[in-house]
Amino acid sequence: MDHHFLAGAQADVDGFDDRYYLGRRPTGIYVPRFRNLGDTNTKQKNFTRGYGYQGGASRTGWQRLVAEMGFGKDLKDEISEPGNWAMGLTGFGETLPYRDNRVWLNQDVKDINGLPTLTMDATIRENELNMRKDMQSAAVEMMEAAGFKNVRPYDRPYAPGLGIHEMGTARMGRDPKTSVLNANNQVHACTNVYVTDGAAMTSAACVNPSLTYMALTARAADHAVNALKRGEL
Amino acid sequence: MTANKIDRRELLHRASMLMGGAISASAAAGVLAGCVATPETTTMPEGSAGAFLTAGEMATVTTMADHIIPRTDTPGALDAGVPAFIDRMLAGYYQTKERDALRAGLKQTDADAQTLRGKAFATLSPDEQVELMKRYDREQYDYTRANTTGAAPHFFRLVKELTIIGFCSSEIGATKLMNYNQTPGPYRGDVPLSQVGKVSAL
Repeated sequence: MDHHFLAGAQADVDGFDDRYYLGRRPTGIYVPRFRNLGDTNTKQKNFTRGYGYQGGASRTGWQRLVAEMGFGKDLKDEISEPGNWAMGLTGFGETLPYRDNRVWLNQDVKDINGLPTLTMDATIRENELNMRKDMQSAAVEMMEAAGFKNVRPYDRPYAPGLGIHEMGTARMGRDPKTSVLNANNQVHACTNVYVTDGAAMTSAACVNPSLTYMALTARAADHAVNALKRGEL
Repeated sequence: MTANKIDRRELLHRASMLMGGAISASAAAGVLAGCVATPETTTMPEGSAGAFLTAGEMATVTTMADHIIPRTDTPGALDAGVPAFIDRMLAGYYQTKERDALRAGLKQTDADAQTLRGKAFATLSPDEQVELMKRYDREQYDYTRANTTGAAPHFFRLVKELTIIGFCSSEIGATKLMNYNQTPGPYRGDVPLSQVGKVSAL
């Protein structure tokens, strides 16, 4: 599982020509999930779960000049001037935990040391594809309501992994037959092995996972320290 | 969209879109790999060939880069070492179809100059050079807009893109024509443009 993204909308914003910013913005804006919150108002017909938006506004830079006509002194003068304001919204959505999205050891293809290689087989499906349509249309609706100009939806090709929020594949559960890790992130079959990244998660949800990785890791490390002290590991 | 197979070049193209849109995947690949223009490279002896460009092609590219971002009261493309940057980018990061298009375009440029004045482009008068370049600029603008199938780009688009990127990512471009903000540093989210004066360097 990964967050499917790269769908949303971009727009130009008129005005504020005399305003600018300095330095590197350390954050962007975040719009928390607003679809399928459990009430009838937010319930969607053609997809379950939801997405949040990440985005930001900035003035365009010299890159805009590549696509424009003209060269010489005029172009050079334009290099020093900030361009128009623009804003983008990008949806980060939940990929449902499909049984068919899998990672396994491939015994048929060995590496140079004769060890099995890893095969990954994962894709987004109908729920995600429908959600991506909503990521675009809702972003367009918001930006048009805000009075932005040249509002344009976008949906770029996405494949699992591009979001770099990989989760799942060693999910946590009570039953060793249907899960890999127990409630303490220990491998059921080998309790002195802890897996503490995003592999434990049974669902990707739609929020950024790093803080959860860290919380799970701190919790598992605490468990391991105490288990060691008790001589259980 | 459906999940497509995505290669490194496509990923770089995505990165280039994040960098502001119009930049090609090849250009993004070179810049992200750390290829930059430096003034030292201008000490390359005149009339010498580069890693990709022949001596004759280098002369044409140098002349064009000089017209695209000329030296005024501030340094220009040649001061920043842009011609050598263009040669390194073409040799190391551009695709064969892009290199072929550029080479064919430079050849056509000299052919056009021969028709016009019976000599090579680099030896035309500056006004004659600019006149030809304006024609190519209009051509590349129309061609690029119509080219939705991923066919090889117009050669002048390549020369222009590489000149702008080379200059704007160089120390001279970033500090003399733009405000260079060191990272890490403070962030101020709303300042009057009049207080800052210039755009911030990437």
